[in-house]
Amino acid sequence: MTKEDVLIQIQDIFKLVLKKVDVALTEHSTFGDVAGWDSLNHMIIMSEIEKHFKIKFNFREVLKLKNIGDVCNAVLAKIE
Amino acid sequence: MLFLSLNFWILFCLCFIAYYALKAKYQNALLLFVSCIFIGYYQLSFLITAVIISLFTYFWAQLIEKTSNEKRTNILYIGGLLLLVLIWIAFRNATTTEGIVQTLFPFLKTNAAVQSIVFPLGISFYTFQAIGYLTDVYWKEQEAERNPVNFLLFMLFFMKFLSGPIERAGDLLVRLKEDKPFRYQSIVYGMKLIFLGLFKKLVIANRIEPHTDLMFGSIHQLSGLQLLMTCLIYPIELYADFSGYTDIAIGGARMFGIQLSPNFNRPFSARTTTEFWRRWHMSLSFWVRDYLYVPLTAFTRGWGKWGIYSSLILTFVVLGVWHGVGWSFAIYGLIQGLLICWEVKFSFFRKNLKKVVGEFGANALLILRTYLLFALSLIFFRMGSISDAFYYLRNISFTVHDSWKEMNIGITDHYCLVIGLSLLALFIFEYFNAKRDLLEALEQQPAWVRWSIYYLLIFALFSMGSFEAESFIYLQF
Repeated sequence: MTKEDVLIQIQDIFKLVLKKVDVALTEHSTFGDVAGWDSLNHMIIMSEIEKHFKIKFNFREVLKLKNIGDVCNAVLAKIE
Repeated sequence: MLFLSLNFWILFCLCFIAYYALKAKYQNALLLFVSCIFIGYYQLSFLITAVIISLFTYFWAQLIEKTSNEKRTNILYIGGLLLLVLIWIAFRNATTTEGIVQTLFPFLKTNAAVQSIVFPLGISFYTFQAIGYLTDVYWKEQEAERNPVNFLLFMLFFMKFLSGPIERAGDLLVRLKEDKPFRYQSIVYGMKLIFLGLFKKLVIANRIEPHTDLMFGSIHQLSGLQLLMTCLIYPIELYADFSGYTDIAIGGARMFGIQLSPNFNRPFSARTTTEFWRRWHMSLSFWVRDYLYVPLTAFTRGWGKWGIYSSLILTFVVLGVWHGVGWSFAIYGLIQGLLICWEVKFSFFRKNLKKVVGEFGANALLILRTYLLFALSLIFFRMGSISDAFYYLRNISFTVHDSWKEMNIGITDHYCLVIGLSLLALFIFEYFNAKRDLLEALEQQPAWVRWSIYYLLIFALFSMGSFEAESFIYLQF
């Protein structure tokens, strides 16, 4: 699976959790870039990503994810 | 030595002159020396407590950083954290400590010693700053500071020592290391902020404070209308007092070329309680978000929305208890947490409201609702006892003892007008200032315009301000 594949799947998860169809993510997207993505639903999104890719981040890993690029890299590292 | 005392301004001016006369490498040492005078002037024990906690944090962070064994790092971090929290709780709750010590060790003569404990000024602010710093070093987001002068100044800097803003090492420590040459524009900007802070404090907060103090001190004698009006005006007083203090702190620091974090961003324009806490006492609410709420939600992320709800409630209870140990502060925080949970769960209410009354009408109603809920929750914050707070809430009504004049809660008609117009001017200023920095824009105007405005405002400050109360509400925290 490539980074772009992961990004597209994460984008679908964002659309599902945020209940929006017009979510466009890039590797550099972070809080504030995506309308509706805030501290109130960040961990719900992380949990959905874990369920979707059947992976589990540890506590330190999940706190270190600062942007979508970090999330993609962390997912790729877990599934490879 | 409070911000409104002559002693403080003499010290500030002497420090300012010496600061820019000295070579850059001695500037931080001078600020640290003046900070020690500032803190020690209150009571030497305040300075000793602050220095001990700061030095402990300084060395402990280096120890955490040096340790390569993960298990040992965890133990060091949790040990350091517990020690800082226990010290803070012990000081915060000195009378209960006395009770606990006497119960456990009745033969010990600890009474006099424990009774003599005075709550050190600023400890809640610098302890939270120390916890944040240790956590950043533990999370490897921040390198442990090696320069003791810079670190002690980060902890003890006199412009933010008493009531914040609670700073992050990634912000303030970095700025302290930068060169701070004499910049006329920055100094003038700082002076304008100080003036704005003085205006909020002297003309608005100090004019309201004696009346609300009297009302809150005699709630059983008040009519329903007086209780209502006191409840409605208290958030204004608290805002003018605390944001006034913050403006002076940020302005004063700016005169030394140091930028502190913002603490308020037009909180009464918030349409939800969630938004309100992103605009009110921002350095504290962002602190609890990053160091408590986010780790809690990380732990409970498998619980779905219930993880968010439980983390929100626990976070806001801690935010409430930060103000003081006691059930009333815990309930104050709990109310904020429950309101935000409600807003997360029933966000469709707001969307439907917009469809029914239009965007403008919905925004106005939501702003009003947010203000009223905050005002009601502040009853627990202000009253201290739960029974008094519930009595207060039960008896709010439109009933009067004698006449409708009771609604001015003892403020004369003249000062009702002064406070009302000042508040209106402040809100208009803040509204336009959010779109464009008006203090900077003023600098672009011709000298006669600028000085006309300065003289007018100075005249307003001296003719309408009340110089009787020197203290600030948040000093008790």
